[in-house]
This record gives sequence, structure tokens and C-alpha cells, in this order.
Amino acid sequence: MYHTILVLFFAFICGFSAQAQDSFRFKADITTKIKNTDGTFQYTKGSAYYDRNAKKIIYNITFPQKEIYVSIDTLVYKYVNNKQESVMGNPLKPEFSIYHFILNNDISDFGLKKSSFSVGNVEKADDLVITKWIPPAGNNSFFGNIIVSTKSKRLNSVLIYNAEGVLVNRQIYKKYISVKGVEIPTEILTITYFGEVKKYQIVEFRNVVINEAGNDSMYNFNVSKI
Amino acid sequence: MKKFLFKSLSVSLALLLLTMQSFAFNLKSTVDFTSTEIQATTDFNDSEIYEAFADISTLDQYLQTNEDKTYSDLELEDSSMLAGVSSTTTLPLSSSQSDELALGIPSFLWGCVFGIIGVVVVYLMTDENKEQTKKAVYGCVASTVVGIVFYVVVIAAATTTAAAATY
Repeated sequence: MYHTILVLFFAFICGFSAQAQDSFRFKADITTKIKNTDGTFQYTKGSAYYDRNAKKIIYNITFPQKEIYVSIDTLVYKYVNNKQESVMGNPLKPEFSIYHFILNNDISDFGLKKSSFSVGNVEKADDLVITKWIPPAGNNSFFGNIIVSTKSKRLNSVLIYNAEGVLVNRQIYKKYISVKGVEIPTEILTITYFGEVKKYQIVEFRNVVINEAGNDSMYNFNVSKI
Repeated sequence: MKKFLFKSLSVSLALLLLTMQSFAFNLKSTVDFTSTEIQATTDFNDSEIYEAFADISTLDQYLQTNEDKTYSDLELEDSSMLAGVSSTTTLPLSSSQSDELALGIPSFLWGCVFGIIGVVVVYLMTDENKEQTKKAVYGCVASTVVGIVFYVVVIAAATTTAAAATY
């Protein structure tokens, strides 16, 4: 009897973990709006594809121009009319992107649990649970403390401070939907501070698909093929 | 049965001990919140962000229903919607736009090795990216300064050597 209960208990736990691990593909229509510090706007529209195993983010952009961007490791390849046009550097690897965190269900802590940051303090304020993440000792990077708030266990906001304790970036994660058990914020609002001036950004996801079958050539885009 | 219960109890106690240890460690390393940190989190007003994009709401609505339209199409049809809107793409949630490299070669090197031509190449190949063009200009200036310093040192050395040979 005890053995049966134990086996059922472990099957239950493993079932939960398997559900989280089973999410391996993310696809969505994506819109990015930016208001730069000089008052000009940038508007980009298209679709984003991410496969956790391939570790590539593919952006099939339709506006302002029809272009494809493929992010692999620390490089981004740009294609126009099926021809590779340029290569860009990108310090943010795909496995540290929001798509990876979403599929891994790691988004509630902004992926910090698996980073070198450690929890400095946790506090409740209103309906928020606020966690202060502190950088490792001897941190020589630009970044200082990061304050993450969750609401009903969902990531609500992120405040990023620099090493001097000045707020440099604020993010709000909104309009959550659940697709195949995966929690997805479909609107991400950001303010980046450059002294007195600010840069605003809104990223929106629509038509989110998890674990799309087929379309392999897009999810595992071969950069050497074209 | 008794053996199984003892084993379960010992495993539970071991887990409890580990949990208490990590809990004690966490208590030791707490860093207090400042009042501004709490306030910045709870008073985060998103209306400021929405209002920042009021000027492009027409473009936004138009593109929701006309998904295949490009910037060039709109320039021909109704360019008023593009007032203040750049024609460059920005990748969502990444910082790649400012790091665009011509042929994957750092812009500073382009300017350093090819001078003014390198600056022009970077300007054209990075879709007129100001940041990268600036880096290429710095490269160009750096190579020019190094060239001048080298020239002055060589001329000075040659003059000194010639003067010494005369005497």
C-alpha cells in the first residue's frame, strides 16, 4: 500500500516536471515599438520562432522591411531576399532569452535563480512579493541589484540598478495567457534611463503557439544554407 | 513495515536539517530594501509608457489590419503615418541593433585599417547606424594619430641621426 502511494506520488511529481520540460517550441506574432531618447520611433512587426533544443531565435520580419534575423550564440545573421546581408554581435545568447525562460517556466524569477545573483531579501507589499537579487561579491559588471516583483506567482516587474545604485531599467510584464500549461506575458513594457532622458519600449505577442509540429526549417534555420 | 517507517523518518530528518541550514544561511545574508526600491516597484505607472506611443497609434492600428505592408509601401500610399518613424528594424528584447557589424568585422577596425573608405563602408553596410559609424571614425582618427606620431618620431630620429653623422 505504502509503495503504491509512493510510486503514485513520484509519478505525480515527475508528471509536473515532464509537462514543464515538454515545452520546447515557441512561436508568436510579435510587435516592437520603441521611442528613442531623441523622440524618434522604431516600429518592427513579424513573427518569432524559438526551439529550445536548436537554441536559435528566428525573427521573420514584415515591417519595416521583409527580413529574416537568426540569432545563434552571440551572433545575429540578417537575410534579405534569401541572401545573407550582414552579421551582428549580440551579447544575449538565445538560451538566456525570454523565450527560453518562458518554455522552461523560469520567467517568474527573471531567470535569476540560475544566475550568479543571490537573493538578498524578500518582502510583501500590497499584493506583490518583492525579491531583491544581489550580484556576486567582486562583481565588476555594469549591473548592480535587481528587484523582481511577482503577483500571484507571475513575474510582474523588474527594476535593474547599475553598480552605483542608479535605476537604469524598469520592465512590466502584463496580460498573461496560458498556452498548453505555459504562462506567457503578452505585453512587456520597458523604460530605460539615460540620465535625464528615457527610452520607451513595448513588446507585444499575439497568436502564441507552443510546440508547433513541422516547420522545422524555420525553427532550425540553417544559416549556411543560403 | 517498521523498517520502512524508520527509513522514511531518517530521510525526513536529513531533509529538514538541510532545509534549516539553507534557511539559516539566507537569514544571515539578507540585504534590506530601501524605501525608494519598494516605492519604485509598487508605484510603477505604465500609463507613461502607453502615452509615449500616442503619436504612432494610427500606424499601429493600420498595420494590425494590413499585415503585408512595408515601410516603402506606406511611403508611397500615406507617408504622414511615418512621421518620426525610422525605417530601421529593431530586434525585440535584444541589443543587436547597436552592435551591427559590417561583414562581421568590428567597425573600429574598418576605420583603423581602411580610413575614410572604411567609415563609408560601415555607414552604408550597417544601414546608417550612427553608433557603428562613430566607432569607425574613432578607428580612422586613431590610425591617423598613430601614423602622425610614427612619422614625427621617424623624422626626428632620422634628423638626429643625420645631425650626429655630420658632426
